Amino acid sequence: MKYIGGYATNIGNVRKVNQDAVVLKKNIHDGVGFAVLAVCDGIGGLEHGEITSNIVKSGIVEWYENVLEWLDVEAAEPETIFSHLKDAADEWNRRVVDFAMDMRTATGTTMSLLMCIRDKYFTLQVGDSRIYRLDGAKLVQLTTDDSVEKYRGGKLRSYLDNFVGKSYELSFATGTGTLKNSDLFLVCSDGFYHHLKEEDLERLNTADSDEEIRSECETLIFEMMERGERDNISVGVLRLTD
Amino acid sequence: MYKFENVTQGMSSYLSLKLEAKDKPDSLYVGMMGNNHIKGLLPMSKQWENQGFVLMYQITGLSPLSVSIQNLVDERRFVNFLKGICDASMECGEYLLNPGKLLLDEKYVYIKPGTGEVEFAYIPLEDFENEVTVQMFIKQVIHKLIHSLAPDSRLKPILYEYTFEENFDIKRFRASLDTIKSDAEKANADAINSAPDTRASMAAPAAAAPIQQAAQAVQAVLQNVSAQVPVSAPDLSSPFGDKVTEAPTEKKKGGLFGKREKEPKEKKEKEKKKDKKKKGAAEAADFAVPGIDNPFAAKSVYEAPKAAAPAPAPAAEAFAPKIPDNTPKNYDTSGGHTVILQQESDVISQVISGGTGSSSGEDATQIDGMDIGLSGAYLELIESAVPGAMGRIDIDMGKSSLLIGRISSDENKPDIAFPREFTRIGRQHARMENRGGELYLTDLGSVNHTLLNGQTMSPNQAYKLTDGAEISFTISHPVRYRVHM
Repeated sequence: MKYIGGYATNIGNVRKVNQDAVVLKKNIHDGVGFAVLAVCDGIGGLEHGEITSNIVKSGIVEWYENVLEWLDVEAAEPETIFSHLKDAADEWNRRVVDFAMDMRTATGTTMSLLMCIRDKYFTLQVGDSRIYRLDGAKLVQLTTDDSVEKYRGGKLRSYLDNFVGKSYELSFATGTGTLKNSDLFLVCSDGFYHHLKEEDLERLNTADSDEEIRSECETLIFEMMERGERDNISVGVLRLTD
Repeated sequence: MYKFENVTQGMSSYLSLKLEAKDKPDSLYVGMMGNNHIKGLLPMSKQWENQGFVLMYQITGLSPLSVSIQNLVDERRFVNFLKGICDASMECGEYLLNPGKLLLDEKYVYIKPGTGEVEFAYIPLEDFENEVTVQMFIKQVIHKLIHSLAPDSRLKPILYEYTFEENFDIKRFRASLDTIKSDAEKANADAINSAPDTRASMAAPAAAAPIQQAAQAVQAVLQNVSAQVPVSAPDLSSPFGDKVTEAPTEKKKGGLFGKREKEPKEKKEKEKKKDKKKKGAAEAADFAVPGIDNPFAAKSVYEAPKAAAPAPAPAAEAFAPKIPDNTPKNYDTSGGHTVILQQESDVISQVISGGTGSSSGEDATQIDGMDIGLSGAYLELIESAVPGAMGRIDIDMGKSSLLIGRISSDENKPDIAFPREFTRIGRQHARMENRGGELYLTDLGSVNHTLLNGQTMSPNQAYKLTDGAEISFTISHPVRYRVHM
């Protein structure tokens, strides 16, 4: 088994800053894998969203590389590693809150994180970025958005009600499942999924290399912009293959 | 525009504000302040002087905030200070005063150095209005002190949540400050909340539960403290400064942590139930055979009188451990892991044992013939960066493996469980193993590491423990224990 994957991110047509951050790390040893794929979308309505999303991204990279130094993937307990990931997420959250207090402002970011280890996958979800799984031809949303709908100005609008940096106690949702060969996971910001259709992902299923996936991600982002998306757009894909 | 001076008259100190006849004090405000002692406001009197008058604010034993602000880095005092500001602001409403006339200048805001309680001068002049709102003043002080608070200060999250808005709600903020309990109350609450019901007692019905005794001990401390200490002397023995004046002189209904006042009808029915229970207890006591499951007896495994006769073993299910409410539904009870909290007056020890447990004979401190907390290896707390650490952790050598970690809502409770407040300790931080009678410790790859004798442990490697070894959970906020074997 091997992992192939790639990602792309774009400031979009309207925004002045790209507050999204994407991270993809993967490693295979003797056919047994350990990978993380995450998208963080800085809260647009608050200040310094681009910094907070990158605080979390740096934390994910740091954690992954630390774990890789000692991890025996074949012997590891996936649930224990996921437990450490949750502890690390608490730590990233504290950094964001401390940053916010230093800046004397409110700030935050979403975080949709997928971890694959041995034959299991785990999801860690805060906010309204999403993780999908392509099950055959069907796109299945694995995460639930942390948002509420309220009437404002006569319209029903969706508001984010949880994010990294909201308070010192991080609240997140988790999920887990068993990996299958040819599994494809897609993690994206809301700028990507607003205009996403299932048929958009057909070419991803046949991509054979990291470079092909990366290129396809960029193509899809431009497609979303064509469809009128105004926000930052980010997507990452991880696929299992023989 | 207004000239303040410090004035001493005899043993008393005052902040004086000299005014001319043309300055117009509001007679309603002056009357309110002269006739009432308003919480959070400096007592004020008005004196006529030459062609004008002087407002005199009593500041004996107080210190201006500009001088004593660093005293507030102590969390207890800072909480009292913030509560005082909120109370003063809210009291203004009660007494028809205008919070905009509080003098919010650090040079003229006064605190009691020992407790952090704050008092403000109220300027009862029609022309006076503060440019700074109460919320702005609070934020100014917070910005000066926030970085001096301890990293794990319980105040920080509240300050962040409630005060980043410009005009945050003072009442809500004040209510949130009440959630910060004293260390003593908190440790006691944690002990009570995490202790499952022990097996029904083999002890005499009159034996009091250790938990109730400890609660009464804490209550006694608070009552003692309430009788102490005049305004000017720092009161370091009191958990919170405000408890000095507000501690109840009699035991609150419902125990240390109080209960809402019941309606009269409710009370009557409650009394009836109590009487019934007392009657039942008396009847049960008459029939009580020591060792037989007595539902009215205090639940205590540790106070059995030596004279109690050996009891026939009751059914095993009578002693099934009670699973705490916050334990995840898939908590494994089938293995019969029994965790019993043995609470002494100021030390909480956690005893881990195996087996389903059954009543044994006279010695109520035994389960399945194994001594609890009386022999064998244990960890003794050396220091903890976070309050509430277990003072002693007894380790049952009969169990092969113990998971050490922090309680969280998304995972099963570890065998050696640190409270949620120990945020730097991982959910599955380390494992202690018994290998042929020898203890080994393994860091499971925790984010904040484990140190053994000052050296960081490599993840997933078992280290043999020896008598006197020092274990530190986490580097940045260490919780250090010494191994005794």
